Amino acid sequence: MSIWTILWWALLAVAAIALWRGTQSPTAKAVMVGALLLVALPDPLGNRAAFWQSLRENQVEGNLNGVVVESRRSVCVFCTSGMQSEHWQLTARFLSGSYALSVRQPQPYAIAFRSGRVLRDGQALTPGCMSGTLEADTLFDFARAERVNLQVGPGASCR
Amino acid sequence: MVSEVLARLQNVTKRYGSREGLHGLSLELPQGQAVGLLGLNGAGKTTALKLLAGLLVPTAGRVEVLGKQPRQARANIAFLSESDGLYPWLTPADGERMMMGLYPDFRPGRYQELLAFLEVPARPIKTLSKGQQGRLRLAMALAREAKLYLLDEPLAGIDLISRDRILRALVQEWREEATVVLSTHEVAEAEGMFDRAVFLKEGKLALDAQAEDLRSQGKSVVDAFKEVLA
Amino acid sequence: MNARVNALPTLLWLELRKQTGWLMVLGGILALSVVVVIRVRQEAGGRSLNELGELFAVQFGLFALAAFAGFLLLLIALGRAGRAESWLLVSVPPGVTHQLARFFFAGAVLLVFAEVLAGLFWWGARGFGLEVSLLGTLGLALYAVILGLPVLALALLGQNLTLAYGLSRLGWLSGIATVLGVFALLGWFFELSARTVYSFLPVWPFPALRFQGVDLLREVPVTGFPSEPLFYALVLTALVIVLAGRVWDEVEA
Repeated sequence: MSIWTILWWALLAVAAIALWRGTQSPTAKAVMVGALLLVALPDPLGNRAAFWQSLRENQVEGNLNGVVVESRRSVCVFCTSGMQSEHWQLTARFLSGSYALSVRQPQPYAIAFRSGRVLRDGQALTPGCMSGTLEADTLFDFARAERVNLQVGPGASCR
Repeated sequence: MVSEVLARLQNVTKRYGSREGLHGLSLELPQGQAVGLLGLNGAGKTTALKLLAGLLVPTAGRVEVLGKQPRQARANIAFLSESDGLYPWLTPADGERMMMGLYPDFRPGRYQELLAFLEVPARPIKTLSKGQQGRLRLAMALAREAKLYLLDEPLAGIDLISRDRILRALVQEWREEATVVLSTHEVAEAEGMFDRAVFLKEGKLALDAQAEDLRSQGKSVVDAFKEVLA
Repeated sequence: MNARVNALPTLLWLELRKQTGWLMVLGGILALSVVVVIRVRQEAGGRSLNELGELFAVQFGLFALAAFAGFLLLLIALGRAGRAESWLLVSVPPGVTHQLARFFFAGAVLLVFAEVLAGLFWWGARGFGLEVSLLGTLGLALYAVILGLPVLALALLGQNLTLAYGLSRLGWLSGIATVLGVFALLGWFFELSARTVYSFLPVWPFPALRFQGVDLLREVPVTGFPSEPLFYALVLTALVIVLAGRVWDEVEA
């Protein structure tokens, strides 16, 4: 903790004490201390930086166990992606955007979504679960797709 | 007959920062009493009235009106403030509409009678003289059927004719069950109006006397005031 | 005397009387917007697509400015309306009724102002040959108004806090703390909204938007705006009004 942080906290504490004593209204006291707490807590929800980072578009997620993933996400809500045991997995409550996947050797994959439009190399997929094998480069286009679960690699399934 | 205590200040102190507005004031205000709260400017009269109205919270001590905190009793308190101006566009008719909407005990018929008696013109406040404005505010306050009337300097800065009308309206409006506390530093004008005179000096109680007792001692309220100031 | 009065109509009427001057200024902004739309519609005839785009951008910019100016004026009016009214503090209605009256009045003015502005914008857009659904445009204005409600409520709270600290010398400190707190709160509100958009409420649909038969929103990744921020905005507004009412009840004058 730097000296500036300590000074900042001390300043806020002094202000809180002064404002607490400066009125007879208990609610005004509580509101002012609440306001100072809001100022003092820079990241009340946690992982602010990581959250804003996750919204960035054109993210190259890198080479994950033989699967190269490049995403162009427009909107992704409750999004998680990364390695799960031996396969790469993407889950999203709501997703619009593209995922370009490149595999060095054929890999099993499975995809499930509840509604919306999903294209695999330009071919529309029907909502539900389907699985197969990825041979080389594959492009998944999602448009307003809901409850998406895409897995690539050994053990890939819709679960 | 021993009247029930309507309002009470118990050892009340009020500080404004480092300045003390009132110090250790204790008063009991029985039902049906007309109390003159007398003192020079800055004696603590307005502070005492605002404490009774619930507009101020005591720094120490306790204030009760009808056995409750003043804010909980405000439906029974009519407060005429010295300083607060009403909206400049407000006419007496607007005043009636406003008071009816904000105070369940407002009596429109009485208000009209008071307006006529006090000769308040039916024009917006901004076009009225200070005396006419004071008379309008008094009509609004007295048209309520409150249990406690707190009138802060209703005579201050008002011409002689208006003062006369206001005093006559007050005497006419006196109701036996209501308690009236009227603050003024114009002691001579209000002589004879009070059952009791409470003198404040520099935030402290200087004298609390029944008007009858003063009279039996051959003193007027003005005499007592001069003694307190001496 | 235990009779009760419904103070809300009276307090709303008081707000209307107090704010007449400000309402006329807002009306003036709308009148200027009408002039802009008429001019733009006259200018739009026989122009190339590029020029039309520029003209549309100008109209959009002017309307955004009008909306911002109107909102700012309303906030100032709300702040000024509460000054020098300490005699109202002894009125019988509870503080929350006073705050609700001010809030309802300001909210209604904001809604009418925004909807008229949106209607004018829709009329102007049709001058360019844009086919926009009127209902959708008005719905979008409502969406913006709901997002603005917490700011109105916070202005009310700020005004009551000024009353609460008015007697002491700490008015400036409470002012700074309130402003910093409001910014922190709005940041928090924005982040919470961003983290949960499209997650648990249906979307607020975009207005249908076509130009020369082409659906301009066909490729947009979502079908509408998220409703979750509206939910948070309403919850925050209610909370702030209750707090403002309590401060009013406890304030010293």
